[in-house]
Amino acid sequence: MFLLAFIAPIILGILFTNYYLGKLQLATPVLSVSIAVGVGIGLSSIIFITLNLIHIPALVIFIAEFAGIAYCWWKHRNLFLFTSATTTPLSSIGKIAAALGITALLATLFIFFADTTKDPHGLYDAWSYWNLRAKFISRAPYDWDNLFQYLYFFHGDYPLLHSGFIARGWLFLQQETVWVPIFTAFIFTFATVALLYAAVAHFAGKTAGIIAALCMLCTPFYMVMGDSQYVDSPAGYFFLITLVLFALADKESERQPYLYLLAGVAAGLSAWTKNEGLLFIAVLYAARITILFFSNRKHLFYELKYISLGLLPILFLIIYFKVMIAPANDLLAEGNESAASKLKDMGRYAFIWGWFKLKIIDFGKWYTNPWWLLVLYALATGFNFATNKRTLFFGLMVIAMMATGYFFIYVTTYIDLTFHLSTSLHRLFFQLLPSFLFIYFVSLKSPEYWLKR
Amino acid sequence: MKLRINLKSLVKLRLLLLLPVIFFMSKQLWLTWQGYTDCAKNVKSCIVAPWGTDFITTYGTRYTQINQFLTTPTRIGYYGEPGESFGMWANNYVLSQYFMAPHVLEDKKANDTILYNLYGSQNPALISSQFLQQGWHILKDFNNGLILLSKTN
Repeated sequence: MFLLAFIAPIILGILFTNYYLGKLQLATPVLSVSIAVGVGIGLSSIIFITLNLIHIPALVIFIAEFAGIAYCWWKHRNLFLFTSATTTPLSSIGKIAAALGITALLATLFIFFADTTKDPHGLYDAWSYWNLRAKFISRAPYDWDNLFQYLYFFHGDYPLLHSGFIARGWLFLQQETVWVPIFTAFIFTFATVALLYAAVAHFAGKTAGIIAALCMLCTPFYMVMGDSQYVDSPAGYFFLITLVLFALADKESERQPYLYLLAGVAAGLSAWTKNEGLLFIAVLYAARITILFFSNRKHLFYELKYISLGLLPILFLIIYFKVMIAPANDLLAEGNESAASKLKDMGRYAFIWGWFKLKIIDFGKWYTNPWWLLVLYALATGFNFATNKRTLFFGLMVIAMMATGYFFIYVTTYIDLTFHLSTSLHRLFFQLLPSFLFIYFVSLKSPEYWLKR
Repeated sequence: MKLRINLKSLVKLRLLLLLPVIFFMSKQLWLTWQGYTDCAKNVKSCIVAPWGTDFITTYGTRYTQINQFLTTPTRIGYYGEPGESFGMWANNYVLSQYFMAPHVLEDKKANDTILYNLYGSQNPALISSQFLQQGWHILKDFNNGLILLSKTN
């Protein structure tokens, strides 16, 4: 029954994504669907919150959603179809990886639901921030914008993609079922894995795609993050979509306005998911401008125009929410006065760097240091910097600048440093993990390359 | 004896390096799975039967009556058990807010209405006498540790 709440958003995502990706005939069904589901949830949240803020009743919003879908079905049926993919047979090593991949997928599906039974409301952040705010919106649909100013202790300033979408689901079903947040977390957790597989397979071959997806599925803490209903997984998912769309655009010889626009939408949705998305947008512009300035200045304004076209409507909503509805952000409100002195304190830098090293080595609760696996894989396949040079430089710049941004948030934080680092650093790294794995695997040759020789 | 290295053996060597990668991943998956083997053996008692018996859901059943009692969104001062630790206070405060939304619970603010969440003792005698001496009265005792005080009628 709860699945009814997901029908319109997912179809909306498919229509929107196919409208832009379908023109290129380059996206496989897995790539399209894994982008579509999350984008659909994001857009649905934006439509719901925007119309709700002008006091349009929820029932009218739902009728409008289905009427829009019916109109598209009548007028543009081809948008419901996916580009057919050309399938290449797997190599022997690819078959071994695929067998492990299917086993890992079945095991993690089971783990997801076993953990969910223990904590159907998610872990602390899920019920104390994200789902709590969803309750405010669904229980007081015409008052919540006046009440959020009092939610300082509950991070009322956090963006609304997750809370807005869950509230929409509850109002649609007329029931506050825990299955709406659970299934939302499920979609983002597994769509990230599917997108990573499809994107790496597109650029570096199927076997590489399977191994990249395995890196996610086998990382114990990734599933914990997902079934805890934490919003770091959706943020990482939107970061990944953005980088994948830029990579697709960079691979094409002609200008791809639709991909830039869709990348702008994805970046905007990341900021509608978590405050870190605002940093991501700044980093995205900085990295893209730098890359284009040195490689292709003619494209600079053209690309920025389309990225901004996708991004700005979402950014306006975020700004409206932050200025008119939300309480002040605690890190900004409480940290301003002492930030300057903290920036001069070299001891803080050393302390934070120590934590960064610790969390990188101890990443994801693996039984062994997982980075050796990536080194072994690179030794096996060899690097391939030439083919996707711009994608690699751009992706690495984005990841490095994001990590630097996170570093300085800790330098200036007003919260006890050990507490802040121990409760959040691993989650921030998980936001960057899918993007990092994508860039890493795209920079390597595929195992098929060697088998063909 | 001549050591011959041809292209095919190099390819084999490269592909052999992939096997430890797959082995390590398999081992990690196996180790993670070990925490769930008992659950997988008896899915019904592990996943189906305990549904809805978790701490948060159980905690929330206390708030059904109070939510029916308060009809329009209200700002309410929140007080917990006297002498509780910060961790306990925060957990119970946030849980109360989670189940009482869209009423806003404000920490130790004397609005027109105050909620006492005596989750452990469930003893109304622990309500600070300063309130009762200053014209506050018990608006409703829900007999589960949740007590509403009011300054007005």
